[in-house]
Amino acid sequence: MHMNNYVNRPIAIKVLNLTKKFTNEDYVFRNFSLKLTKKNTALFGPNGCGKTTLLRIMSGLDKSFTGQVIYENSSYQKKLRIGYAFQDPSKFLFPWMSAFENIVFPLKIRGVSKKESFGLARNLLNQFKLDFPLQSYPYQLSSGQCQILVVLRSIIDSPNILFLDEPFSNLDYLNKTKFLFDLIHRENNNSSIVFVSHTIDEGVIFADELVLLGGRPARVIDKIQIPFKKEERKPEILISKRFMDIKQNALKVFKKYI
Amino acid sequence: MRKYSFVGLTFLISVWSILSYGSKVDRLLLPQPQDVLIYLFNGFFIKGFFITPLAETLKLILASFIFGSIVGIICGMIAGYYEKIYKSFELILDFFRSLPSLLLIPLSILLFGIGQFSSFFVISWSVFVYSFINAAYGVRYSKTSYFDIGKLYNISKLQEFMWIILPSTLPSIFAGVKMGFSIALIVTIGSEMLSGHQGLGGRVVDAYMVYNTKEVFSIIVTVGSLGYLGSKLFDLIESKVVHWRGN
Repeated sequence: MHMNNYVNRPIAIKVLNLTKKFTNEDYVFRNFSLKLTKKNTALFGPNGCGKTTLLRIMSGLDKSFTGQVIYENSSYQKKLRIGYAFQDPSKFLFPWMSAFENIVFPLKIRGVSKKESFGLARNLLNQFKLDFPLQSYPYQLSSGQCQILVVLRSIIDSPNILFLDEPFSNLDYLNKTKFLFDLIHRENNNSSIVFVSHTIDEGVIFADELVLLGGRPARVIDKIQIPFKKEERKPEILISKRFMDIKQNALKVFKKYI
Repeated sequence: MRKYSFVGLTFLISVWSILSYGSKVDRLLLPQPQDVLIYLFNGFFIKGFFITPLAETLKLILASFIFGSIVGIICGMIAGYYEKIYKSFELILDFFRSLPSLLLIPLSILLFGIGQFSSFFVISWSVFVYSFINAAYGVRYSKTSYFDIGKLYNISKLQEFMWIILPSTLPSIFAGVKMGFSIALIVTIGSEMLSGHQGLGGRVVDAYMVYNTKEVFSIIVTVGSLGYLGSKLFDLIESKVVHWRGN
């Protein structure tokens, strides 16, 4: 792989004094600041509070805002790799490309050979124990499978930061949780992850910190630390008392704002 | 479902037969189906008097269709990519699109003289308009979400064009090419009729002047089949190249 200047490690992000407004609308963000550590963060908040907008700004897709997005100590660096799993797979998979071509698209842009790409894609599928018809096209797959494709594409490049925008909304509970655990424990996991979610369980399984957003313009309402270590995050925790306690505590905090 | 298409065909031929075998309609005006069939067979396989006109028409239609499509697609994609170019030419294109192309034939004959080139010019132009507009629309309205994916990975302009813009515009390009072919057929026959060119259009004018209705009918069947086979061929190519369309 082309590794010129590329450092494979998680990166912290800061958002400073962000102000963002769509035309003819209220402010989505006004002097909004948020510091994300190198760990995993889950963003919660009601529909339309600006979670996706925030992800697009932090990932550099949306540049029409005032304020600063700082990666580690400098602003946007081309050397860093960014992964982004978009919310709506029907808009963000290329229908003319097979499942395989979609997954390895980031590698194709960097000029990685087809053979090497194929190996990497196979390896990913094996790690996630997915039995995927790689030659099929997105329109031949279910919406859940398409979401998985989007997520696989976002991690194939081993990004420094991975943005996941409700990536599993079309998956059933079992597959969703399985996928989450596999995502945390995947090989070469050197990403800090920013995760938008609607379910507390996902956040507790996955994140080191839950951030609750709300209001218009949006602000950080509360933050909750999740004390699980990485090696503790296994399917067994789902039925542990600690998991229940943490979830209950989070729900209590959230309830204050409903 | 294919077997049902025979029902319609049988119906048409039955009505034709009933009318032409009865004594009410003059045989000179409405020849019997088998006479037309024999005439066609004669014209293509025995005496061969239809072969040259068909070849002439095919030559003209293919040359202008291919030329008009290629130039139209290239210019259309450029115009679709650069908004300012598109806006500058939008008005005149809309004007010419609304204009029946046959109206341009007299002008073209004045400019280029009687002959194949004036026909070639008008047919190419009408094909150009359709492929241009569709290609330009395709590029302009290619999904912005597709570009986001490339942006994340610092895609180059060339890669973006080859891997995102071009394939996402293909369905629209194909729609334009298909429309262009039907238009090419109409304008080719029309211009041949007007300019006395020795293709099928010229032949049909000659035939009707001397009440050779068998020939008129034969040419109608030939041109109709040409259009039908052409559009089926494009449908087939489209389903292979733009396989994701409609899925």
